[in-house]
Amino acid sequence: MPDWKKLVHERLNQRGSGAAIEPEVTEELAHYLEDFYQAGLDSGLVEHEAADRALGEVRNWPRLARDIKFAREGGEMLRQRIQMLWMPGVVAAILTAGVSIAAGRVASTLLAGARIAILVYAGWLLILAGIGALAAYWSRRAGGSIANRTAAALIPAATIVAALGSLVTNPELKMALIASVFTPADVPILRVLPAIGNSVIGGILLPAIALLMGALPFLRGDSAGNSLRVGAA
Amino acid sequence: MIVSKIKRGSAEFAILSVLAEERLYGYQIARTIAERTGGELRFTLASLYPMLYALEKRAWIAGAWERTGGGRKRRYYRLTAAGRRQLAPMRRQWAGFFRAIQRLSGAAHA
Repeated sequence: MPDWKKLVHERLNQRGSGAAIEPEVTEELAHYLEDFYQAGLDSGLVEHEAADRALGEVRNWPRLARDIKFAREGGEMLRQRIQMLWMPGVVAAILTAGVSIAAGRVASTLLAGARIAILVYAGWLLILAGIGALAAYWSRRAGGSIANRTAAALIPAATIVAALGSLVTNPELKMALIASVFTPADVPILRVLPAIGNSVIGGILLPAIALLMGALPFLRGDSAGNSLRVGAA
Repeated sequence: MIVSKIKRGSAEFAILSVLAEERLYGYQIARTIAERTGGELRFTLASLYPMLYALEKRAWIAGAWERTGGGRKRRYYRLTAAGRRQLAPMRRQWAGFFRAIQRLSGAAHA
């Protein structure tokens, strides 16, 4: 009988595999081939035929070594997380940034009054709902769970929070916030609280709600799941 | 081409399904699936183990070394609670998928 463990070790660790395989894996694969070989003998094959048949189980050993390494290190999980969460979320965030910049320009150049400002703002929220829908649909199609779909749709809101945090441009508000940290008793923080509240509601809360509303139809139902995704494609 | 894609896509489902009934080691998993599907689904070592390790990494299955009845050391896999939770919707989806295909097939013959 061939020394399956030695054979598997040599083939898995040959040049080109680019992956060191743990002895535990080598042993497990050797046992599989041993069982396969034994089944061949039991079915009436002679030794070399049974051995050839067992070796036919693997056509490309370096590729098998890479596949095993990838699976054991969680590469598959990472890839799925990228497909289910990060790709839809980041694309949605980029779209949101683009739409927000465009809306800001439109508002600053065409702004004639509060009415137009409200229209531009409402349009912006509607587009955000569409972006939330796109992110959730994409995530669901990739097999994302409800949590994945929700998170993908809300990633743009998180980027808005980050952007607003770094872009507090109102000098009065900025100074008040800084001063309130150092001398809280002397600063009339109550005076700037409405401005902060408006920013949070209009700039973060309502966009987040719009994104979620758009995502809502795609939060229901099972995801395609990894196994069905390939077949149903 | 489509059939081969369906077969490939059903691999995870097949593994989880057989492990839902009993714990098995790698060769037994491949043999059981081949037997139960009349040879329509057949794993090779190269297709089985990367998938087993990926499922184990996701904690849908768990493997442990044990001795067989004949005293041989084998790594047995069992379905975890998380794997069981994944299997239930997969069953519904596959059943729905094949019902749909059957309806299409029936309509074509009608």
